[in-house]
Amino acid sequence: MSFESVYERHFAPLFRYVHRWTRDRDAAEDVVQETFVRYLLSTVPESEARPWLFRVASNLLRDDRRRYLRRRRLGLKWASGRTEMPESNEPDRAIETARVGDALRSLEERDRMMLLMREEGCSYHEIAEVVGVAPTSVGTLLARALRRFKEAYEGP
Amino acid sequence: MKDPERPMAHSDEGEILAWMDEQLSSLRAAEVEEHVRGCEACSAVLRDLQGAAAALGHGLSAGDRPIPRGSTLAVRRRALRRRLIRPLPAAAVLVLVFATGALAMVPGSPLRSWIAARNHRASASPAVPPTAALVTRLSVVSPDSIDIVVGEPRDTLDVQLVRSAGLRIEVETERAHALERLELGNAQLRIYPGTARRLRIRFPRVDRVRVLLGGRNLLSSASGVQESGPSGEDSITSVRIAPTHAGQERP
Repeated sequence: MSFESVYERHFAPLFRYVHRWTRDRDAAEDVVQETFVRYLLSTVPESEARPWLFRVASNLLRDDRRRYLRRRRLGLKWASGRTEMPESNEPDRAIETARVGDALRSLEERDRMMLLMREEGCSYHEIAEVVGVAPTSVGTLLARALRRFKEAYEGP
Repeated sequence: MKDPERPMAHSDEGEILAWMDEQLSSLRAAEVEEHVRGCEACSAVLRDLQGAAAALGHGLSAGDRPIPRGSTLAVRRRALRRRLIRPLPAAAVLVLVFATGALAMVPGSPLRSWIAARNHRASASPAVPPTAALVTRLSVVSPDSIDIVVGEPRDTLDVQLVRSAGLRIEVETERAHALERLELGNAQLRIYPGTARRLRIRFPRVDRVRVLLGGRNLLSSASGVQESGPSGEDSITSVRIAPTHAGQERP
């Protein structure tokens, strides 16, 4: 068991999670690297690494984002809420991405966090641990978040 | 035991989603699956959830960028820098403290000379209350009581009250522990303010009140005489004790 194996296993889902939240590749790389630095400096066992990493990354994104990103002079990207243009040249795909991004941003932070963690295959127990709710209520909360997402996605 | 005649109640959407996400126990998952397959309402809920989840998944995937090649080396370097940098402020403070202490010990050093000069100045000028920061305000709220606002509540405060008529002085203090020595015509209090910052001392009309801190005269007021310290918020303002007896003061 080594740091390399934890990194290897969790880097991709964590990066995808953070990038889907920020839609800013540089910021996402920075947040993920900072998360792994904190993991390396911690004594968290590998078996508990995944929820721990998601929780730290979420905290960096959520609670500390202004201070954290101001320090790295990335605040403008966050404050303006701009998203990257999709790399795809297909207009339909770009529109779809923008629609989903707008719908997600209209949700409350907790809903967005839960939906993005679910997309990364996190278990309900892991989501509950990160979000700070009872595991038995995760299904209901996720279903409501999905419904709210659908309403925002489909529009009035 | 399950009653085949009695249909299972509708699952809520949270449970249907949990089943969809394979988060239920195998037993519960089988029950929910059986019910959903035979229940139009629950099937509709399932289709709704599947549709929303699919829209979300497709939209998110469409905006994904290739995952960068992460480097554990970069993480390790950053962690190492932090390990090295974090203890620096504490180490710097320690070095500074030791260096200052060592310098103060060296005879003839500028620091030692400065400390000596400062101590000399302090001992040569008793008129300047050294306790301005300790007792920030002392005021008379009525002819027979004084208020003391203590800046450093840990310090003790001595209050002497003198009454020339030789009558017993009774003293009442609020919000402070006080050791009182009451004699005929004389009261001495040693006050331990504790955590209290504002003390009120009540006493019958006296001829003279003295407040001492650490043996130093902080304030003394004789009958009919108003004595003022330096004006300002952080210093003694004034005190006036209204005399009731025109007797002589005790020395």
